Amino acid sequence: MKSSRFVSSALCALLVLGTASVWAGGKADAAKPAADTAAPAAKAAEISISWQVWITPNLTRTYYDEVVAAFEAKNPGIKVKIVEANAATSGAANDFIKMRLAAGDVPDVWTNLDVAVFAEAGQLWEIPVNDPDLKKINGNPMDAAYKGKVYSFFPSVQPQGCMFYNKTMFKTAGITTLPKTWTEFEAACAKLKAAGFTPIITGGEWVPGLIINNVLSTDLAKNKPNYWTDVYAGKATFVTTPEVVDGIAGLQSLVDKGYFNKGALSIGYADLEGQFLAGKAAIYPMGSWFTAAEAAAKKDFEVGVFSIPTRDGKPSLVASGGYGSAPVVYAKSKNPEAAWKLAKFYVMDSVYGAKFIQVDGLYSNLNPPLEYPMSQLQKDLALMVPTAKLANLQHRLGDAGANGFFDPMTKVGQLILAEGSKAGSPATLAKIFDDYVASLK
Amino acid sequence: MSGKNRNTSTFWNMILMLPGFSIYVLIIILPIFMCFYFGFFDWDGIRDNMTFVGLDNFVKALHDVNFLTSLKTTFFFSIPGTLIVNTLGIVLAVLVNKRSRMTNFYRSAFFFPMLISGVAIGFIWKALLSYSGVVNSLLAYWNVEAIDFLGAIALAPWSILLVNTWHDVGFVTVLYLAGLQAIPSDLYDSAIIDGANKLQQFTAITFPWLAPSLTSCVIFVFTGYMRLYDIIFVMTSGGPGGATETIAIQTIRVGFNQNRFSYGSSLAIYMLVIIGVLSVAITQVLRKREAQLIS
Repeated sequence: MKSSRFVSSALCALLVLGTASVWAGGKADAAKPAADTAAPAAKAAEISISWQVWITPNLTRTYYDEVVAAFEAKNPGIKVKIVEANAATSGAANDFIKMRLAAGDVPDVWTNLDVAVFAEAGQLWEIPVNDPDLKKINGNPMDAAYKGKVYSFFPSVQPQGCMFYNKTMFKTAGITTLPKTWTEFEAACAKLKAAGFTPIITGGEWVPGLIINNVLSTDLAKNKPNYWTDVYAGKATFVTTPEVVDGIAGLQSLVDKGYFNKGALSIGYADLEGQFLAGKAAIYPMGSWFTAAEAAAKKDFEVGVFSIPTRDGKPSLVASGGYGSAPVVYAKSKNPEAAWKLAKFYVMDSVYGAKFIQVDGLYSNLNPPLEYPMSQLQKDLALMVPTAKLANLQHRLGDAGANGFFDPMTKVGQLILAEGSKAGSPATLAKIFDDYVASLK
Repeated sequence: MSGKNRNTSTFWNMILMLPGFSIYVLIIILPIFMCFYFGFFDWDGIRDNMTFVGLDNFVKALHDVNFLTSLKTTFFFSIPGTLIVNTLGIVLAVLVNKRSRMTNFYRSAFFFPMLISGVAIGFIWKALLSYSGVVNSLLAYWNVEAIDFLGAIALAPWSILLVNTWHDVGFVTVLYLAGLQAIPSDLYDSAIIDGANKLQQFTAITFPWLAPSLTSCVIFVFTGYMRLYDIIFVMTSGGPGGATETIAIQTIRVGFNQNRFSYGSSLAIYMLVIIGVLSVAITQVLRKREAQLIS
């Protein structure tokens, strides 16, 4: 009996030691530079880098293979290995990169992630702001800085605060001028409802968070471009910010008056787009990526666009500057210069950079701009891009947005869409944001 | 068996057990200890270094409105869920407890939902209950106004409870049915001779004899509902407005969406402790009750 106990104990001890050594080994590997494990042995004169790409229905593996082939042809001596992260399994590449970091097998170039999160963690390579190629980008490279250091750049503009509308329904309802203020917007919705149309269509999942982000950011980006800096410094709170409280009140009023589609929170994003294109509602608040779907859709009406109304009627188009979709370089890359070359090529090359912005409905932020054949809607939106503010609550307003801030925005958006003003006063809902920021301290 | 043979046999038993035990330790035991360890640090899951913060994360959780709300939501599912599933399970088991050709069919039919993954069930019921889904299409056919089962704050938790009840009631029915069929029939014969009616037979014989099955089923359902994740994630993702956000959903959201890995770990430990303590307490109470009823 004693002997069997000894055998059991010995085996258990072996097992524990074994698992502990696997764990310790993993941690030790994690501390090593990525290229040790990521890249196969390269030829002496050849540099090998790996690139985490973002596979979507538009950005396919074939497309990335073409980019790599063109890059390698222009840069003999640099070989690129593609590492696939897929949009079908998550909303961003954050979790993919986190897993790679934990495993110690990290690509040299990353794309489609929250730059601030990884910059804060010290995992991003500081790009050379004096690089002559950065002079091709409109604005100052420091606009993309995180805590005074530049890790990413703004090669494109992605308008998010767009109100796409059905021109036929607007005409039938007798709306001749596009609304610029909230009062005008409510009046337009009233006309649409009176004409028998559903004025606005929206959905569940992440969409309510996007709507809150865009509605609140439209006035904040125009009036308080350093809002996050002020919040972190204790100079501003959401509860006492008129742009926030008024924005929430405006949305609640729209819900109370029945201007949104019924059962909005039960509709997924994929259905939502299809329902608007099928003529189920007059206005569809969404980002510029919708223009790519609109261009491909068969429908018997034209789609127009205007920006989310503001409190004073002065136009302000909320946009993201590609802060996330623009590639970044891993801090411990063995070949950061080669990786940086690939990062620039991907979004700035006249052929592939243009293709990249085309498939995602983006607009070039380069001077001269990259061009691609645009639909009428894309051309209409292009006329609004000069009013775009590359700032929003989710990503940055002065400082970067609070970590995970999309979560409380989604919660507040869902509460408003579900219950309108019954969900609580605007200040009560704004307090959810303050509480969230306080919980991070 | 001689002592030597017994030792050899034990040795080989251990060797054969080692692969399964190793996997269990690697994917269950070790992560629990790691989770506990990470709970004492400030770490986003990305940085190379972690900062030791002692019990800060555990203390912070006690004042976290979102965590406390998710705990309340979890109890909303687990307490009524356990009662409803077990009551329905016993009722269904008693109704189909006849030794006939159909018994096996009922067992298979009731057990069937248990064979489908939570994710698949979530998608199926989402298609049924969404605003433009099958149920509302039927209601529209009968000129009844559509019901927002998943988008209304008051309805969404009940819709989730309905789906989970549908998923689990068949399984507990099968367990209760097995318990019922183990009750000696002569007990009922004696009761009938003594003039006991159906209700008296149920309270005096059936229910006490089901006590062991009841203990197993209650613990199974209660612990399962305290850990609800997959069906909710697919159907509502914890929404609308956090109305269906359980501790499990909150833990994943905090740890991964908000990049507060160590704080999420502390929430997971709370979840483990709460489930563990309540499970032990419930088991103790029900075991005592079993002993009383059978004696």
